[in-house]
Amino acid sequence: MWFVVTLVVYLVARRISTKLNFPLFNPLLLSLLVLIPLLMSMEIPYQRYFADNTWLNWLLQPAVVALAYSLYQCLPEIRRHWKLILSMCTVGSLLSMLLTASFAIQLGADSQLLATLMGKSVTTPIAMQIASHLGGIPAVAAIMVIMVGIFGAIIAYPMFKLLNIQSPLARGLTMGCVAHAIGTAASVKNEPEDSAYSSLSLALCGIITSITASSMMAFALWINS
Amino acid sequence: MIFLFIPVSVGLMNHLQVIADYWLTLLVSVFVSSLIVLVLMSWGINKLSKGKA
Repeated sequence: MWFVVTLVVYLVARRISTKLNFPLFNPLLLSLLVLIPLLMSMEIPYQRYFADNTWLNWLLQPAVVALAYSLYQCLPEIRRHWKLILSMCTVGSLLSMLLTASFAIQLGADSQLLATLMGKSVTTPIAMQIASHLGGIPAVAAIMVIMVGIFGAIIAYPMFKLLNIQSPLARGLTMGCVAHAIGTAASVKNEPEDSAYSSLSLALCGIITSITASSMMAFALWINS
Repeated sequence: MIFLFIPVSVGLMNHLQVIADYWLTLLVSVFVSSLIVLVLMSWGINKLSKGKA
């Protein structure tokens, strides 16, 4: 039953988003604003809701694999710029983790919350695994990832316009690094040319973050101590 | 594919207290760092890719 409710709410939210065409009316955000109060008011436990939607969650993996199609289309360009792509994704991932951890420490976060936030710029399954391994809260990591994705999808393109960023490589890599899959979906909608770089950045930053998250957390604790 | 994330995000309901206790820390650390990385990374790559072209 909750699978049908999720699907209907999302489809209605997507229709509203298409009609109003304003960044804040993001279908994901609208769906959350309907579903969470609905579940809470009916006292439906998360476990029951999740059990009804298990196979939707399984579809996440083939959906991520499908992003490879746009990558394939841009293969010559990617080959030409591979050094720049790899270096900037590494710098972006490390900077993202260091800044997040530093702000969190300065604002009084404990080590559990810090571990939760380390993977906030990568896609949900990776962020949840990172949070789990570092001793954080995977469910809170998931919601932070989604909030960052929505934030990136809303502000990135107006910001690119303001900064006069015309390179699809710059826009795409930044979207994938900062706003992961939700940012990539925004790229597909706004500038389809950016989406291949965004998919690549999403994957690279996921790998880099998962390898370096524990070291970056220790480093951030050390420099802020 | 966006709606595929919804089941995971509802996990928020289980940890509402943590979010309420640290809402300022969460919002500032997550959004400000994302904004800084967004500006620096896009500007840097734009400059470097122009130089290479």
